[in-house]
Amino acid sequence: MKILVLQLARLGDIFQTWPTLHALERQGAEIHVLVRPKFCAATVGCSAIHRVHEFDTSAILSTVLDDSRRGLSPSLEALDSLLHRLDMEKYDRIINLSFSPLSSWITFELEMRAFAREMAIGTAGYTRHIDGTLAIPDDASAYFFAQVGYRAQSGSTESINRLSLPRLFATIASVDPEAEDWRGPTRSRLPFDLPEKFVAVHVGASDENKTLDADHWGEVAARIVRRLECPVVLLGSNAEIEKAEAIVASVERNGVVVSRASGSHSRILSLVGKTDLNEIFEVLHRSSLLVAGDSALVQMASLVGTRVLNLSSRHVSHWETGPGSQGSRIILYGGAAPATEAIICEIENMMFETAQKESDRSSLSAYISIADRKVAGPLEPIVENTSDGYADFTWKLISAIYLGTEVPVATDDRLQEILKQWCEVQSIENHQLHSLKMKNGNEAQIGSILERIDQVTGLLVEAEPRLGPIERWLSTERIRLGPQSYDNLIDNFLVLNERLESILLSLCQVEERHDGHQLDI
Amino acid sequence: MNHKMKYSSQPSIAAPLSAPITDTQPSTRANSTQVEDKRILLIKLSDAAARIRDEAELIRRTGFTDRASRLLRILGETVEEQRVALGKNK
Repeated sequence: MKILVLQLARLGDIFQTWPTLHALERQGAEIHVLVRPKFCAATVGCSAIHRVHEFDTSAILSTVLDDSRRGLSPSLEALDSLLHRLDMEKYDRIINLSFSPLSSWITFELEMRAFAREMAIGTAGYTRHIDGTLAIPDDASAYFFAQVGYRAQSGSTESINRLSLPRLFATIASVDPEAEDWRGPTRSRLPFDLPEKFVAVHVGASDENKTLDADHWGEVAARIVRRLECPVVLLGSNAEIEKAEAIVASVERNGVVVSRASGSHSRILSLVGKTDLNEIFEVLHRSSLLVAGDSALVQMASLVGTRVLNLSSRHVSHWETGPGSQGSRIILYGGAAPATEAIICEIENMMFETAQKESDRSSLSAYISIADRKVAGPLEPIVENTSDGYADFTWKLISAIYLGTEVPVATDDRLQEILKQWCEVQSIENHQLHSLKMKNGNEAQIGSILERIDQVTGLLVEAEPRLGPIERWLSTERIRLGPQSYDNLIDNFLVLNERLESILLSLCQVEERHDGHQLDI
Repeated sequence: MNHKMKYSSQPSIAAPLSAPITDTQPSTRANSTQVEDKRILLIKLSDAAARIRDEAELIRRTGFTDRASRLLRILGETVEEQRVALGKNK
């Protein structure tokens, strides 16, 4: 089977796609990927990939940007040429892991071209219906649309999804990843020396909000060197050289003399801007630990099994893009970044754990970890309970809707009251839909009542955001119905309404059981 | 694949599905030349978007069964993705 995987996002997303690609390869598939040229380097070393195709935005748009009138045709031709090349590969299946409008249109176009050749092509991930409306063929992508992508749509920073992107990608691709699917490229020699034992630090991230500033990193690095007597290797891209220099200056201000000569004896070794991604994989492989904010290096460390101390700002979701390596820890922070002392204690404790394993010492550290989450591995069971009861309730609700687990019970009066009101609204909607089905009453009038019901539902969810996942599930499932006859649409709305009723009643602890979709995670 | 029928459960304009990605990632400490370059690129992207919109009649006439309409739509999305990302990184 020949498969095209669309991954038009950034480096980190491509690395998080590797386990899925490895799992597909185990099934004997020939795998091609479509990525952006800028992030193409993230495909190097993935043994599962047979061929890389590039969606080169700059090349496609160059003529239309130079001259919007005369340049339109050449731009369309450049696009057509790429799509023709992809069509000529005659894929059996397209897996779109990009979740963007653009990727949905590309998937649709390839389906249509195959259709014109009288070939059927299987798709997973976003695509389009023939009338141009969004098509979400699989449950996992519908889950993403409803419960993950909504943050991009609404600008919300609240994260309640607890499925990691690698596992979500695998579910969309209908594969069961195994632990060995989390693997990096083949080990390689490095053109530079490294200390025998060291802590790696990634100085940057895709956004400065997702990592520490230079002064803070400098303090952390200086204390790792002084207190833990462990060298630090700074990692990052060309764009982060300036920041790395500021970090080294900060380390010196914190009383550590930094030798400018690089090598295995350096206490602070900056490799920022000096390594390609393959070399970074090797450096991570050899490091005792990676300390980083939300960055692609966290995902690279997950592939080579290196533990990560992930400093995760609230701007990102550690559930989705956090580390997967066993023994990794995550410290969450809101406004201010975690104190240097807290970071150092955590690193010390993680290093101590390793030393304990190595020497089999029986003494235990008295230190109590402040980490918000400890990772049991890339395939760890989904975490149900945390210190955040509010988020736990919402996650359990999502899990009940999509994974078929038990519906959580709404214990507080406020939630019960809102649920009661929603049940009433839902029953009115049901009645109106039946009237439409039986052709009783005025269609326009019913239409306006149904519109009002949507508004009231929105208000109820606004009043009780814990119920938001239900509304997002319902609206997504309605979108998934796609273009169809009026009568079918009403029938399908009624079916969805029945499932909504079942969820609401289960939440109210009425003895009816919910029978929703079940994602095979 | 579902084929065209009379009714759809969807709104006529689909909401954005996820954060757009751009090939042009400006530095957070952009200097004045970079700001000017971005401004010019934004104008060019807006011109291209307007030109593609001018062709919307084709889409209205033929729907998405026509390859030219679909290509136009993909090009429009490519431009829009760049435009939104550039605007976000201002």
